[in-house]
Amino acid sequence: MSVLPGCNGWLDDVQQTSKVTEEIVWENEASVDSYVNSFYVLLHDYGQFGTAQFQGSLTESLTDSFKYGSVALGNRAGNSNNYVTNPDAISSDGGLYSIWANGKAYEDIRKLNQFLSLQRKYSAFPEDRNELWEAQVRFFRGFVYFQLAKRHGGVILYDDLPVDGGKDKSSAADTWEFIYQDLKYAAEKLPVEWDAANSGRVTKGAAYAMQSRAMLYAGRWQDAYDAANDVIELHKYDLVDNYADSWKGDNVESILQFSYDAMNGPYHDFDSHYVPQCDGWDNGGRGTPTQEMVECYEKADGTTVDWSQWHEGPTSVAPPYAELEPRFHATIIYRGCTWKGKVMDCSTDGENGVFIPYREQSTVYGKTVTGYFLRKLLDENLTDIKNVKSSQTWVEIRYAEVLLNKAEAAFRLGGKLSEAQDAMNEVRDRVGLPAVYPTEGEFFDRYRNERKVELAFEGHLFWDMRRWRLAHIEYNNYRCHGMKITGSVYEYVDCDGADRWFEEKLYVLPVPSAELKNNRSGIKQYDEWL
Amino acid sequence: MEIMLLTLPNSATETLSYTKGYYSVIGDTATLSEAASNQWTFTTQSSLTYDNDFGDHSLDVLLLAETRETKSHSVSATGYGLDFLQLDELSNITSLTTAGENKIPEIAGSSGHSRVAGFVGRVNYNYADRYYVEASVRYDGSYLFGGMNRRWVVLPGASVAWRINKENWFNASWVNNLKLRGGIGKTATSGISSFQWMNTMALNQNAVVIGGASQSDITASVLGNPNLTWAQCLNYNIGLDATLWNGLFGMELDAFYKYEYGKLSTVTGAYPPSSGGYYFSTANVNKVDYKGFDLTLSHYNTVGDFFYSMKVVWSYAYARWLKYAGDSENAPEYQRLTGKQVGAQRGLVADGLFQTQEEIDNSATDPSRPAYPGYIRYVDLNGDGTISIQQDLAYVGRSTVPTHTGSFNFYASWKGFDIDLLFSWGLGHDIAIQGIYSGTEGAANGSHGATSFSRPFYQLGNAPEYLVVNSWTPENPDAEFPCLEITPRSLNNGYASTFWYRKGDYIRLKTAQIGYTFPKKWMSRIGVETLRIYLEGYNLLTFSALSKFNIDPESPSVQNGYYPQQRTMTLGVKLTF
Repeated sequence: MSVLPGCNGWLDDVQQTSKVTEEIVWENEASVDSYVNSFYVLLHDYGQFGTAQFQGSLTESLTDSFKYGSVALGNRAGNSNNYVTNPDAISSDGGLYSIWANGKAYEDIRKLNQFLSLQRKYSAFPEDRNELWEAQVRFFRGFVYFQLAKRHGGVILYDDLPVDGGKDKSSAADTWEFIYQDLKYAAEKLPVEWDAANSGRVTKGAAYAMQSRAMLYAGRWQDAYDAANDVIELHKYDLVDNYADSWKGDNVESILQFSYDAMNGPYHDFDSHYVPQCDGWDNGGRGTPTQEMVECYEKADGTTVDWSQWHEGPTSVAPPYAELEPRFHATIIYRGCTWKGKVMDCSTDGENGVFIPYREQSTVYGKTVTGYFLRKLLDENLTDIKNVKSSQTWVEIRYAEVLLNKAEAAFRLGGKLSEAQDAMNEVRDRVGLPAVYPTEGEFFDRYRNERKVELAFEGHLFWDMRRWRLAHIEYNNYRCHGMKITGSVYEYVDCDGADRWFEEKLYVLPVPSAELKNNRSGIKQYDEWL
Repeated sequence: MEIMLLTLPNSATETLSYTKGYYSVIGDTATLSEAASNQWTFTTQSSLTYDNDFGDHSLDVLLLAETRETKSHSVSATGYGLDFLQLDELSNITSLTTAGENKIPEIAGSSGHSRVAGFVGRVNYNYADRYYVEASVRYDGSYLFGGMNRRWVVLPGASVAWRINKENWFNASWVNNLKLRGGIGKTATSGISSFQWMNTMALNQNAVVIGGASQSDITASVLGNPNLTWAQCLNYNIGLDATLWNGLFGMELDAFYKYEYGKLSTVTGAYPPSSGGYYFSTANVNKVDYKGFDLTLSHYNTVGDFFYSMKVVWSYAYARWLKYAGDSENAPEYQRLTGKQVGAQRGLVADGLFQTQEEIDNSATDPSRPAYPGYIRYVDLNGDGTISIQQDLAYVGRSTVPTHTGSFNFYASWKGFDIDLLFSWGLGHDIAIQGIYSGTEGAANGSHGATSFSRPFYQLGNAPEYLVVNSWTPENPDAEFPCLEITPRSLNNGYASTFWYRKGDYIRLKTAQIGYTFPKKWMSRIGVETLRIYLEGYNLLTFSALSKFNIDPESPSVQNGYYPQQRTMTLGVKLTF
């Protein structure tokens, strides 16, 4: 038997060389930085160019602002149409905008906690280095828990590796506090600015800005207000002059962004899903802005358009598109605008932009069912959709949102109406709209339209409507519309063909059945779903 | 007496391969790829044997040690742009596309390494060819498992046999052979990919842009399972061999019981999603047992010029999960595999067809797949008022693999004429004419297969007459199939359910051959050694409840585009000079 130890050593000598072992990572700082890099990808995943929020569909398609043209079920297709007309399709057994059970959010959280656990185990680096890594990682843990909390309220909280058998969920208040603490730690430890080699990493401003957003969802108005002021007082951020550049990143307005590289990667494919067919690509135009969204825009002089004459029936009077405020022109492609050098038709017989009635064919192939196309988030300089990847930067948080967050928090706190008005007017002033001074009673309606318009298609509206608990009122028993243009006739058309519904219980998405089946902590379903 | 020490020459094999290829990726840019790889295997085997007879006692001893090592390496390179296509060397690439852009050549390389070792000791003893005893032990080690205690496995085995007809007191001359056998032994398997026992990270290139340039990232990938070890199996068997009346009756009977434990498996299903994938991807978790028998009966005889033989082979095996780690802790019994047959098929429990809208309104249905009159009604097993596959899918069908398989062979010859028939059968299994795709990989795995039964003309398929004739219409409420719709209003009927499971029992005449061989004495005159003409048919007759649907009972589980076995007839002449 003396041969055996030798034999064992012989078996031990087989070394794997294809993968990195967890110890090797902690041997030099650059490897740890690479490990932290993996969490930055979450900004892409949960952003509008990623697929985590709703399997790739924009959540705006669950509001009155955006419509996918396909009847056939699918992502960036009929799934959202099914959800708004048939909300019973969402249950504990499935919900495409739930992120609990699809191997996403909790896997992200586990990986973040795994980093922190390995850091405690292996890191021999100085305290300040460790803090910088921990601050970045805890920022992202707060960011992912925010994604869970905005869907469910109270969820299962892990600040370390998962425990065998699972844990019970915490209250909504404890969940928001957990998020607050992670973002607070991040804000305290992260620098205001990184050196050039680390540009693009999360900063103090990003952590405060995220906190101001999260605390609005939590209903913690003072914390939201304070966090927004913390960003403002850094005096590092400002609004850019041109709204059309505001969401493009790499400017003074961008607080947190994820950049792409069309040649080497990472890149994305957003343009290929939404460009009109005249861009030389047949699979775009999958989702388009609705007439309801268009009607949210004021005229450039701050007056409103009376749309009733178009609602009443076909007319040859053209809507006053050209007179609408700059944000409309920067957000929506409409008849008469110029897109990639072409004057757009957006009509049934158009060459540049073609209208097709919803349900006429199962896939739209670059046509619009609403008479409009999306302009915001698309890259007008990208002309070869077929061969070149999209590289438009994703801006997760920009300064205008922080101002609006402050306005909302100040209004909710009471006694700060003028601060709220000022913050909102700063956003309006950038696009040349006159300042408004609504009363306490009028403020909220004014504010939420401002937020809808300013942050249009940046992933806010659906979640805002849920946290305001307005979705079951406004997104219930209604239909969305488009503008069917035939020659010079404009016809206001129903683009749904069925009524839309929103059930109150959807404010809290259910615990997935896979969790209930396998979690041994005694976890219970949310009351709303019992 | 004989003692032999044998060391086989250490044997090494090495294969080298090299490929070169062109393809075009961007516009007309010429692309040149070269790849080379080698595989090296090195085995050693050393053994010591000792054979001796002491009167009626006979003893054989074997000691054996073997090792096996493999190494592999591969490199490849792809370059872009060649000014002269005929000068196809990587050294001549321009690294420029036709559009004039720089494109860096791509290189890749990988390697693999494995080592296993085994030691065997075996003693065979028999007394007067009457009593046989064998005892053995194997000791196997593999690099696949980490740690001294996990890496090695001890596999003992023992068997005995008694040749009854050799006993002195046994005097029945019509018994040619009568032997009783029995054995018990342990075996082990190691089918996993390498380095599952250690924690590893994945390196991804160009994952993020930091500092204005693309950077790599590192993510945690495999959570190593340090306890990973061999999957083990205990085998028990007893058997009886008999040959009587010089072949008029022959029998071999084996009954077996196998207990597999520590089976290597993934365990995803049993963890809550909130555990975030923090569990071993592979673990020694499952337990399965098998019981069954193999029986062979034979009879052959010659009566004058007439020779005939018959042989029946009958096997039965039933495999059962004793523990299935994928079972969810809080799942109802009908969703657990533990205690059920290996290969049990899932489906909803169907309860006929809906006849009226009123029935539908008063029944549980799936909100995402609404029901209409003529659609299948399902049983709401968990009683929550709705049908959902997550809650109401149950293990309702038997495995697609028959528990009983067998064959019957009849052969006869008379004066140059011969006939050969082979029947085969399979019993005790279920065939889903619309079920769930199963397998280990691929997007289709686990999804419910739509077939022409629920969607006529599906995927350019057909809508056979029996379907049309027997589908539900208000005038044909007792139909065998749901109402037919070319574009279904809902996919309610597309779920796997007991509605679509059918007994798969079949017996078929697999082959039949008749032939005539011309007498040698005629043939030798014309210089031909043998001349035989024959007619052979394959797959001639099938008796099965599935035949009326033109479904082959041996087809795979989901009936969708399966190409059935063909019936062939062959007329042959065999001529040998």
